[in-house]
Amino acid sequence: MDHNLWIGKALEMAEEAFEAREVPVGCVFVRDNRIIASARNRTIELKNATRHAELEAIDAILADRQLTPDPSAQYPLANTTLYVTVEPCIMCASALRQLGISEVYYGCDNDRFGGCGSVLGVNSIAHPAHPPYNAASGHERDAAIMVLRRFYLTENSNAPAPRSKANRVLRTEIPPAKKVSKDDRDETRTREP
Amino acid sequence: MDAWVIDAPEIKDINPLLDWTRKTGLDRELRHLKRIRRLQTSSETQITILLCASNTPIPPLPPNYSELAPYTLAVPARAALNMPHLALKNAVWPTVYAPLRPDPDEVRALEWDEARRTWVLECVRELVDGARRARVSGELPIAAFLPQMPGDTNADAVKALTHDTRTSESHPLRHAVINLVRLVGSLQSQSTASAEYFLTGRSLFLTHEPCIMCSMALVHSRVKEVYILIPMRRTGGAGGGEVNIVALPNVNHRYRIWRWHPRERVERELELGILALPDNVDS
Repeated sequence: MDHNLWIGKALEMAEEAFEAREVPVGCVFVRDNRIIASARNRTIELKNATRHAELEAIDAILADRQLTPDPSAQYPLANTTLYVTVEPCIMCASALRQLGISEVYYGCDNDRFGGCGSVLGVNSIAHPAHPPYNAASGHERDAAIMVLRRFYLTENSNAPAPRSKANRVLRTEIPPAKKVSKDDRDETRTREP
Repeated sequence: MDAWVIDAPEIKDINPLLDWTRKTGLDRELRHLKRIRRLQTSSETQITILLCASNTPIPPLPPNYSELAPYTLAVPARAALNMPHLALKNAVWPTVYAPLRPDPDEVRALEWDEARRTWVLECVRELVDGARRARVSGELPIAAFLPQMPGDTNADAVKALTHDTRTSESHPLRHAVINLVRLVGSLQSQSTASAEYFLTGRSLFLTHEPCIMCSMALVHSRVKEVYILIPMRRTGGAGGGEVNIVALPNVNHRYRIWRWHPRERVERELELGILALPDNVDS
């Protein structure tokens, strides 16, 4: 399985979000070696802070009777793998577990909201009903960080209470994984406007 | 639990040994225990210094103390919650006293004035009505109610009542909270004026403690406070059991959580019977 190929497709969705002035996070869901859904953040457009890329794609999959032939199945994402540019937030990590996702691969960690180990391991903590899933980071990590940095470099006038970023410059050096500096945490800090 | 300890030969040796534990970082371990134990016998004072948990390797001792032999000792595993426990634990090793503080929100609730109480009870009534209607229509009896605050003149502050629709929509994520956030967003899409986070400053009433997904959705939505009737100890994300999203480090927004007091619950027994859910459901 070529993880970087699928993460590359997720990065294309992140670029689309960037063009639309949304926080640039993108994802694809893969089943039987093909993409069944791709999506990106739409929180600003929909005025709904929960419309992260993963939940957008999930709604498309569950609404499609070819992709979800049995709508009453308990785990509609069994046998499905998620590739997403940034670690799923706690909300999305829980949604994925409730739907029985099989595996998750992502680019960079999310130290503010990360639900696959950075802030809370929602994929593996005890739950009375839903089985845990594996989540692995580091696929196209640099590219995932750079698109976020480019976004946060600009004045995000769409966000409530935008902060002045006029003095920021785009840094291109990326520290090694698992030794995240404070600055880097700043760049990857948020999934939402 | 067991810990490594070392006997100080003389009183003058205490400070050099404590300096060494500070330098090696050993003093950051076992914060619930005091560093030194003094045992007074008729003839002498035996001084013992705490090093670290017995499963931690001990760094090399300072040169002039290399002949001392650390040994392991059973010590209390946790701080003392009350005075009788403190006495029992101190007999083994001097222990930190850390009583549980009364829940500050519970204390504040006692200070609610009559108008606030009336408002809260009215909101709970509307909330439970919503859950009852959900149950009658074949859904899980989980509801979310976003009231207008008393005297709120802000026309944008929409009022909303939603319930769980995972059954009718064949969608396991159509929880009451998610449905509410979506409804409020769609109502506000029509008024282009609003550039707020979408539940900023708002109060929300829930029949059941929200699951981890919904607890985090409320962080993302910047809700101010949440009133919860029934804790979901095994699946909730708002402190009824193991997980409390708003107590996590790094999370960039926290809402206050008000919990229904068990004494009140008895009076509403009938309604809560309507609200009964299996304990493995994510609400």
